[in-house]
Order: sequence, then C-alpha cells, then structure tokens
Amino acid sequence: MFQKVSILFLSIFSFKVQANEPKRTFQNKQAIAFTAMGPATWWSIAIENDLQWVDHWNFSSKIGISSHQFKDFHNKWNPNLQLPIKLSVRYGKNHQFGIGFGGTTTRVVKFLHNTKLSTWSFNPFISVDYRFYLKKQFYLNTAIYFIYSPNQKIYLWPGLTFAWVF
Amino acid sequence: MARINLCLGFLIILFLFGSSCIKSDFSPNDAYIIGHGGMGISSMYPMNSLESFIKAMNEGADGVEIDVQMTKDGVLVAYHDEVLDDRSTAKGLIENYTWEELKIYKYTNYPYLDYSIVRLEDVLEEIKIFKPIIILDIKKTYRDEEYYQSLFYRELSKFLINYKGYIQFIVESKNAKWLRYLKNDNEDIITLLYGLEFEKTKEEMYTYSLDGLALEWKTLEKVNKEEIKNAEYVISTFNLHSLEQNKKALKRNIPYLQTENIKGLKQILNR
Repeated sequence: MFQKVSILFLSIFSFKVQANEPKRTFQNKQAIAFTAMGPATWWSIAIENDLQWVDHWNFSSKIGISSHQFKDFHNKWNPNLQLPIKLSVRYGKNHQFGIGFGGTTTRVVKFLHNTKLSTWSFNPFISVDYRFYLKKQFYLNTAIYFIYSPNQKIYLWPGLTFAWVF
Repeated sequence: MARINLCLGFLIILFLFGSSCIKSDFSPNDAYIIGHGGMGISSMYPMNSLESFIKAMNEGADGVEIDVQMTKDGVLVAYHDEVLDDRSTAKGLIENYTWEELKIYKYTNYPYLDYSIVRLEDVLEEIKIFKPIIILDIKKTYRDEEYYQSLFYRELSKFLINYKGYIQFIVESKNAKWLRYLKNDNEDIITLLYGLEFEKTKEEMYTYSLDGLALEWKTLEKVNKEEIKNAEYVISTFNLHSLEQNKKALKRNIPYLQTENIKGLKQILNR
C-alpha cells in the first residue's frame, strides 16, 4: 500500500515539477543602440548581444564608442574618446527591469606641466535599467548610472537608449 | 503700371536703406572677441581651466576673461566661484588652501573630466604668444584683511608689470576704490567697475575716475541703446550666450564682448 502511494505521489510530483519548469529558449539577438547621455557622458553608439536564456531572463553585453571632442585645444585632430562596455541582466518580457555593470575606458587630452598629454583611465559604473520593447524590433531603455570618475567622484547620470534589434 | 513701378522703387529704396542701417550699426572693427572664462560655460572644457583658455585663443578670440582669486600662500589662481564645492573636488574657500594643496583637485562639471585648477602664471605663460587682451575679473580684493589685501595687490601688480609687453590688461572689480589705487600705479591698464545697476555703477565710476563699466548683458540690455552707443567710457559685457545676444551687443557698439560663443561671434564679424 505504502509503495503504491509513494509511486503515485512521486509521479504526481515529477509531473508537477515538469509542468512548472520553464521552457528553455536560447534565443540570441543583436541590436544597434544609440544612447543619449548614459555611460559616455553625452552620447554613444553601441552594438549589443542579447541572450534570452530562460523565459523572461535576459543577459546582454554591449560595447560602444563616443567622442565629444575630436579636436584638442590646439585645434589638432586628437579626440577625447570614451569606450563603454556593459553587462546586464533583466527580467521581463516586453517590459524588463534589470541591473547592469561595466566600465568606460576614457581618453582625455589635457595640459600638464607645460606638456600636452593624453591620459587613459578605466571608470567603473553600475546601472539600474528599465527596457520597453516596441514591436520586437525596437526598444527603449532608460537607466540611471552610478559612474566613478577619474576625479574620484561618483556621478548619478541618466541614460536613454533607442535600439534596433536584428 | 506707373503705380506698380512706384511701389517697386519704394521697396528697393527701403531695402537698400534698411540693409545699410544694419551694416553701419555693426561696427565690427571696434569689437573684440573675449572668451568668457576661456571657451565659456557650455564648453566641455571647464571655465577657467588652462585647456579652455588655450582653446579659446586657438579658436580665434582676441583675448580671454580670467576670474582671479588667491590661495593662502599668495598664489593667484583662475577660479570663478567663491566656494570650491560646486565645481571641484575640493571644499570651502580657495584662501584656506596653499597652492601645493589646491593643485591636486579636479573640476567636476561632468563625469570623466580630468582637468585641474590652474595658476594665473601658467595661463599667462601659455597664451602670451597670442598677444591677447586679458580681462582679469578680480573676485575678491580682501578689503577686510590688511595682510591679504596688500599681498594680493603686490602679486597682481607683478603680473601687470612682467607681462606688459605681451598682454593688454583690463582689470574689472566691484571695488571702485581698489581699482583707483591700481590705476594710479598702472596707468596703461583699463579699469572697469562691475555692478548690478547701470546708473549707480556709472556714477561710482565717474566718482573714482575709472575707465568704464563691466555689466552683465541682461543689465545692459535694459539701458537706453543710444546712451550705450554714444558712451564716452569703455564698456564690457558678459554672459552673451546666443547669436542674437551677440548681435544685439554688437549693435550697441560695445567694444569688449565676453562671449560664450566665440565661433558664432566670429561668424557675425566675418573673421
């Protein structure tokens, strides 16, 4: 009797577990994203790889480039560069909430001790993100970034991204 | 037909008269392009940074305006605000720091900035090759502290003498009495009195026999146009952001325009 009950119980339980287990879909998408403000001060353009691992869980990696000054203070071609990279995890389908972290490699041209120098620095950041998909091909992403700058200050900096998914 | 011809002729005369009026109002040869704090407030270079001053001169400005303050050990530095907190990583007043302490701090206008507070000496050394007009905006004359007052005066006078051959100095301050002392010792510099009210400042300028006025554009804009155009004293104005503001200031024949938009003003003047 006990054996029969156990078998029945286990079969129901295993069925239930199977029924609750989410469908695994390893969907991989790419996107081109334009960000106003965000991790590169004023704007950046980036490519993104978005991996939908389990239903509603999304992991993405993004690499971008930006420059707000192409010529230096001597009016010579010598851009200040910003190269942000970001990893993020989000939950949701059309409306996704998540967090991200990464860093911006920055090149600044400056004048120090009578010499023109270009300095490179890596500046970490974390972000809190909300993403909204428009017809699966486009998304808008709003984020608040906490950026640690070379001047040793933490900035609270917003970012708005519009991306085309392909 | 005759009526149409008459109208057409009238329109042509009106057009020619109108355009000649605008041209004669501009008097571009009299105006000097002065970069306000270097490249101005909207530049990616912080105001009063060395990079901002060098950029302004390379953009084609005739000169720059520099805000001058002094450290505890008598070093003159370029910085605008009275307290350091809002635009730099330092805190408090500049006069509480020695230069060695102050020079490590950075501007904080945006993320990733890596520009430092700079000495007046470094600025003048770098831009003297341009033979510029320098407007020194004296933020503080230390009128209540005798030691600092004489130290500041002595340090400033050194620069006025040492760079005499390279730089045309204009000194602006809200302290008329102090400007008068400075003028007595340095006859060739131009002294401008800064104030918030036009009539009151003008009266004080005449009382102390100074050379002219330094007024914010929003103050000057309200003053009678003809009075400004025909003024027998020197006028300098600042906070000229838009092209329209720069054009309006030019139309009033103001010689020293401390602009936030060097490129725009250059375009208006066809330079």
